[in-house]
Amino acid sequence: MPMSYTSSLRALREHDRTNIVGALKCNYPGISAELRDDDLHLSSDQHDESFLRSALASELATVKVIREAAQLRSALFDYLLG
Amino acid sequence: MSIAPLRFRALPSGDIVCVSDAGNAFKASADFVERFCSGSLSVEDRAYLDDRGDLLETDHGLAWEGFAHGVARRLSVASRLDYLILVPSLRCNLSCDYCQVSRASEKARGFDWTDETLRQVLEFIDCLETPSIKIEFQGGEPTLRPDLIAAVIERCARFERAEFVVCTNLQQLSAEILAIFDRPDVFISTSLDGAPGDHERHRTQTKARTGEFLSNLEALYRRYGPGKISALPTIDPRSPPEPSEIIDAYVSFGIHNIFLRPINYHGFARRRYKESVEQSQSWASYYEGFVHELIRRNWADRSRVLQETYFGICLRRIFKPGFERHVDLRNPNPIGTDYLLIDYDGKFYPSDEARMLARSGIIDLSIGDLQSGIDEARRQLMNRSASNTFDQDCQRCAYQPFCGRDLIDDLARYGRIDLPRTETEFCRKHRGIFDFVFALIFSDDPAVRYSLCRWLGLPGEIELAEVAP
Repeated sequence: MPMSYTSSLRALREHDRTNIVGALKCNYPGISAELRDDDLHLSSDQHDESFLRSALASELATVKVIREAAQLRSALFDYLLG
Repeated sequence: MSIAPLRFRALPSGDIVCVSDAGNAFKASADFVERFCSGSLSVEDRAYLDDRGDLLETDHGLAWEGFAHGVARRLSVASRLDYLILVPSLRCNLSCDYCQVSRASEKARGFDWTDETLRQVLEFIDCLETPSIKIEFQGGEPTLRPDLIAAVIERCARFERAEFVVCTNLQQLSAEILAIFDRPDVFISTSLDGAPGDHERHRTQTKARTGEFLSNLEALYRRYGPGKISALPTIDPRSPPEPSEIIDAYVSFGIHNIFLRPINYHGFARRRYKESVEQSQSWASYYEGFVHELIRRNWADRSRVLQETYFGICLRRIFKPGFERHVDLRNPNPIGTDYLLIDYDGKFYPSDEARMLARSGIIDLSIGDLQSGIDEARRQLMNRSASNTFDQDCQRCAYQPFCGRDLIDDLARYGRIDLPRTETEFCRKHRGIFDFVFALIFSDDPAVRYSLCRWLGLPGEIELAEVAP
């Protein structure tokens, strides 16, 4: 029985939405991800809803950290390699 | 403003692995990660991250210094050249079905080091600026030339510490080779593909030869006891033997570390077995079943600890940064720096796989030779891509601090090194293994905890998982 999970990505920029769909497909074989209007529809015949929710939460958090920590990470490697 | 530089990975259980850039990992629920995303972490959440050193202030401070130290500790530092893989002869007295590109017939001529090559090898060793050395004799079958092995070992007397590994098929044990094996600094590495039938099908091909091998292995085990001999099984993933068959065979020779490897085809063989470019889900399931069988046995019999070697390496990459020096899983992973292969003809290669790629006509990855030394331009060209730290895909991956980079593997499988990481077998394989490792770390099963602690060298059954509120 295929499981599905839908979440709104309205708050995200277009670029981030596209990245999240791509990352879900690459990182989690067995998940199918489709963007319809502002909503992301996830489905899988291998995983349950809890996994779909966790996979999406993981990718959303990754996008947030990439944006917020970019400067810190850059400073870190300047420091380490400097 | 504070920032938590974390990365996230959902496991099939629905748990989420959160890993800081410094490699500190904890388990979180989707609720926690959603609070993190929406900027609505509770006081308790923030205190948890702060206590772990995962909540950093942008104006630096002590936590930032600790974080920087943690990241630096995860980066491997290639030392001076102190690990040589030597191929004194390409000749072999077996014709294993997955080794065609790296052998020559036992009677062939021109596939051993010449006197001049030996002289150059010894001079090369004389010039190494390291207090310790490890030398692995590969082939072909290196025991066909015990004189060359003995000459190298003798030349290493000047080192403070020296260790030698003779990789041999154990088809014949001459008095000369036994004298070498008797040295306490010499270790023996062989292949044992599980039950005698499996070993015979892929390697020895006749009952008589299988008998010779098993009798020699038995004799050496009686002579030296456990610890001197290690072995690797090479498994045909299309028809793998029952895990119990392999484990029983190893235990009977006192070998408790089993490095489970699917056949790695090269050259023409890879064209013949196209599916071998990437491991299947069925191999992953087999591998996990194998590790679970080891865990079951360890729990049932506490007198010894059985371990799948690569699983142990991955586990220690998480908890003991800097402890492992496995060159197929480290970051950065520069070639031709701290280890080097010298072939039968005096050519340098970054690894055994690189030598096989050259032999099978895929790509010449030689990086110099005994006469002209290391080809710096070629070495530097490859090492420009030897790190996963700044790779776009790896930067997003929770397992990046534990993972590595293997340029030779990418070249062997795809003929290029610039594929998106997530499309490579190296990435898929390691995502799968680390998913599995973390699933076990988060397990409540006391048998699992027992084995994980033993593999980490810890006493008792310690709770390894850290869990967010």
